[in-house]
Amino acid sequence: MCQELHSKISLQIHANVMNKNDSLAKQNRQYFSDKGILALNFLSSPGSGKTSLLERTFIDTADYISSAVIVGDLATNNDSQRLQKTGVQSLQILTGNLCHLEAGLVKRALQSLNLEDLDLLAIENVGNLVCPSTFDLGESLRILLLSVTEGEDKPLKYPESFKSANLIILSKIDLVEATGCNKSLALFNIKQVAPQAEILEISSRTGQGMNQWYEFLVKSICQLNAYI
Amino acid sequence: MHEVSLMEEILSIAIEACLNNKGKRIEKFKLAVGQLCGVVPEALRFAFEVCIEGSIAEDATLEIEFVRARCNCLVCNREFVPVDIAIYSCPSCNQTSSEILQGREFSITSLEIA
Repeated sequence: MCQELHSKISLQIHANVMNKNDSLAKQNRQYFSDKGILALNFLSSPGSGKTSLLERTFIDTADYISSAVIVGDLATNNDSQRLQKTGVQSLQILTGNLCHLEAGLVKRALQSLNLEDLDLLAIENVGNLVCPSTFDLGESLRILLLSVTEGEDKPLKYPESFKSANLIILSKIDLVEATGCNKSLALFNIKQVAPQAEILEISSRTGQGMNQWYEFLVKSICQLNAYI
Repeated sequence: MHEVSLMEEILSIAIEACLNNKGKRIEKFKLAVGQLCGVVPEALRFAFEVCIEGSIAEDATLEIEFVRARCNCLVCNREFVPVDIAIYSCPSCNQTSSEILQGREFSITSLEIA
């Protein structure tokens, strides 16, 4: 008996570490799907233009897409306030020291939003190309922004995030010349690292490429609702 | 640096499994970390030392099995292990593959308890 008490036991448990997050993400996904809401998880480095893209999108599509936004940041609700001015419901999640959003945080945030008759829920993740890629939020699609000011080799440096995206937006495209960005190299690197993703080139400032972006949104909302 | 919160989750799963099996302490953790799961093994080791302190896993060791990505080439219909960490080109036809079969896993494979 004593020997048994002191003996070592090897447990083969094969437990998925992400299980808790993934099951909450599954609940979110089911919820979005039931309500016919296109939920988009926006990933990028800090300062690549997520908030500007959303601002312009909400203003330009106000007549035909009903939107809301959840914004994740370590501190301040500046982004949420900026987005609220466009007339959409906007909720800030302050993550404190957490460098990413998790499915549970999104699930809790959903309780504070009115999601009736909503077409689009944008989830602006914490600006970070490493950690957010690990956490499924239950989104319908994952959108990654890479601005032309960041360097053409970013896809090679952060392959996990790029490989997890459904759509990659090359943003601030109006600054290509000013920054000396080699756009064809940036596009080549994106295609090499993330062959699964669609690519759009846009500028929230000049409006270049925004129509294709809106077409993408409308197409995705229609596809989602075709299954209901 | 999300490895600390992930390690806290690992510890909580492991303690529950240990107590359910009438164990008093955890002596060894064996994890499988996929190349694409977004977790850095070195950061995980650091987080491990911080998280186990004062728990029933205080004296435990950590073994990490790094799981390389594995793809299927849709042109050759053949599985391959990519050489490059970012660009997954088929060694036969050089086509990049988006069909990733393995490398996203992040799991506790086994525990040694006493």
